[in-house]
Amino acid sequence: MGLLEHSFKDNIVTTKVDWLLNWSRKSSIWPMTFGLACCAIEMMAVGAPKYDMDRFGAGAFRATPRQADLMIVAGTVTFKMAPRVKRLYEQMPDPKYVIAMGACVIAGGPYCKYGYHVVNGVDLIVPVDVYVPGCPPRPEALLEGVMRIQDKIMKERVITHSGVQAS
Amino acid sequence: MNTKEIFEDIQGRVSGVAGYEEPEVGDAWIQVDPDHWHSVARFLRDDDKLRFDMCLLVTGLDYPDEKWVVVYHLHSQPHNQRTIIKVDLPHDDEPSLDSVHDVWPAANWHERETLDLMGIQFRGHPNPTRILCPDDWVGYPLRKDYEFPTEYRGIPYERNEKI
Repeated sequence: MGLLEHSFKDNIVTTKVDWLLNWSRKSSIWPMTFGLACCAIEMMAVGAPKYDMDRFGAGAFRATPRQADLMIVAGTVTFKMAPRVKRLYEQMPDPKYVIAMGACVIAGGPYCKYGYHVVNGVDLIVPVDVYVPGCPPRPEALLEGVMRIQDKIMKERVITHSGVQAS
Repeated sequence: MNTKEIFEDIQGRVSGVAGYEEPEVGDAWIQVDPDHWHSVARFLRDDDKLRFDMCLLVTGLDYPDEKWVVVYHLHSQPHNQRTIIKVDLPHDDEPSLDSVHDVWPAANWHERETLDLMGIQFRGHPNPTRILCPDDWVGYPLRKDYEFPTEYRGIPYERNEKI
C-alpha cells in the first residue's frame, strides 16, 4: 500500500453502479463443495495452493448450496444422481452459475452410447454457463472456466436492465 | 492346494460338487450343484483343510438361451489359497439361488449387486433390494437382452441435437 498511502486528500471516486456491483460479485464467486467423480480431484487441486483458486476470489467452497453462487459439476452425472443435482441447483440463491467440467458432464463422455446409467450432458437437467472440456480438464482449464464466468458477470447490467439476469 | 487338488479333496466328502473345469485361458473352477450350494459353502468355510473364510466376489454371467452362472471367488487366509466356484442355473426369467450371506457376510452386498445388475434372486437374503441403480429402475442392465430406457424421471436418454 506504499504507493497509495497519503497520496490522496479527502476525495470522491466516481464509477458506474453496475460496474461496481459486478466487480464485487465477480471477485467473490463462492463455489459449492460438490464433486461427483474423478474431475473433482482436479477441482480440489484448483482449490489447493499450487493453482490457488482464491486468487480469483473463488476459493471459498461452501458446504451448503444456500451460500453458493457457482456449481462446478465435476464428474459423471448418473441418472441416480441427476435428481439430486437438480435439487442442489434449485436450492442455490440467484444469481447462480454452472460450470460443466469434463467430457462426461458436457455430453456423457465415454458413456455416451453404451452407458445405461449416465446422463448425456448435465445441460439436460440444469442450464450451463461455461463448458470446460477435458478428461479430466487441467486445473488451468478450470481456472479459465472461472474467468469466463467472471467475464459473464461483468457483462451483466443488474441495475439498468430491470434486474433481469443475463443467462 | 490348487483348484484341482481342492476339487479332488472335497469330491467324496461333500455332496453337490458337480465337476471341475480348466479352460485353455484363465483360471480353473469347481462346478457346484445349485440345490446343494449352501451346504457346500458351509463346508468350504468350516473344513479344517480348506477354511475359505473370505468371499472375495460374487458375480453373474448371462449365456443367452443356455444358462445363468453365479461365480464366487473364495480366499482362505489360514492356508493362503484361492479358488473359484461356479453355480449354473437354468436360463429362465426369474433365476434364483440360496443366499450365502450367513456363511460369508461379505456376500450380502455382492448378492444385492448381482440381483441389481443381473436379476438373479437370492433366496433368504435379508434385504433383497437394488444397491447401485435407483430403486425405481426398470430392468437388469447387464443382461444380454436388456433394453435401454428412453427416459428416467423425465430426463431424456439421448440428446436430440449435437452440441
